[in-house]
Amino acid sequence: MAVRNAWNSLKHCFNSFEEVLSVSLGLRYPYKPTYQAVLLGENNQQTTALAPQNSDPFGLGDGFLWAVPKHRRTIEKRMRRKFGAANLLRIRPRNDLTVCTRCGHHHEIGILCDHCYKKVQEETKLAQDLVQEKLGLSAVDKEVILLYENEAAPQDAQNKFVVEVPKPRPQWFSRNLLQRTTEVETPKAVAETNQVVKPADMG
Amino acid sequence: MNQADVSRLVSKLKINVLPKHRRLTNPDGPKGRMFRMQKTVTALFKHERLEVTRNTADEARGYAERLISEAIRYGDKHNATMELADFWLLEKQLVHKLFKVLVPRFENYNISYTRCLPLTPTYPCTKTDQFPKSLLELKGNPYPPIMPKDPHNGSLLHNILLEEARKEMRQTQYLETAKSIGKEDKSAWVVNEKAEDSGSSSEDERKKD
Repeated sequence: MAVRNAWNSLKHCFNSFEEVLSVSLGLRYPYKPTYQAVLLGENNQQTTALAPQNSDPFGLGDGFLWAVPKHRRTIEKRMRRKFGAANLLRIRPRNDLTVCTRCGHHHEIGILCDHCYKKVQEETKLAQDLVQEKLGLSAVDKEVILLYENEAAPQDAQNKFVVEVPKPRPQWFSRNLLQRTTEVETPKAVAETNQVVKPADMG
Repeated sequence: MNQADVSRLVSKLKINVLPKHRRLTNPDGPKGRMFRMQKTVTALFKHERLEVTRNTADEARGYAERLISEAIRYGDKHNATMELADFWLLEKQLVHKLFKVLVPRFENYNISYTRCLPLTPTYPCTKTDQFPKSLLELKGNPYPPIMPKDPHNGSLLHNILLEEARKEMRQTQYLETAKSIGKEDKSAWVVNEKAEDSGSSSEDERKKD
């Protein structure tokens, strides 16, 4: 104990001597005690405040309190909770519903009409199952074409993988989906040429 | 600052790809998400039309479009592209499909290769299967079209004829109104004269009485 005290006092002596020497010679600035914050007072001069002795009274360290109110509830909020408000239970109308132009059923704006889609979904599923059955795991190297009952194969069937569907073609599923009526794109260009292409494969 | 020109490293896609990928919920975490993407892209290429949850569809769409654009740009002799196709397409017959069917189909496209449209949600959307879905499909597929053609398209023949009929109707109406401009019955407009008339008539009646 005595030895420790002696050792500590010796260290302190040495440190003070070192500080006095270094600072006087301009080798370094004196060490300052640890400050909590560096405050800028008037005229932007640095003023300092020493850290309080008891910075961690609860021993929480860097922790925080959970499930505890952070702010006081205002009187307005308290009254609203107690007595209710005009827009407390907002029953709002749905303005995002519209009528399908094809079938007349209702659907959300921007979303496919369910009634119309169900039709397409059924037909697609049937066709997809048939295509997969016929293809199996063989390498796919040709475009697939669906051929309904009593239909003649199209002209370029040699380069296509034909899948027969054993039912008549639905009225709403036209064969001609991609062919343009003219070879040229813009209406102005169309007017300039006198070209007329007869559309083929119309149901 | 000498910044390398990175704008031409990859083909520009015609869809909106978000700057960060979605962290889709999966029991296997990010790896599970990646596996789900692989399965979705494989299924899309296989069936050409697919119903998937909205976020999955949008994510898979980005990957599918990237794969197709790389295949178009480099072809099938390019090692890196082949590896990419091998990674994404879990069923290997679809690698043939990508280079032999889809590349010729989409080569000259200057629009997106896929279509992603929302479907009606089946309320209540509580379980995973019942979350709102989207329809994800490759364009140019042989199946019936899902979007009805715009009936208000002014270039369609019947709409042109109807518009002309409407114009004719308006013309005839203008002519009729023009003809009857100088021939209106003005007595209806003047109120004072009539009142005076009625007053005088009533006076006459009183005199009679």
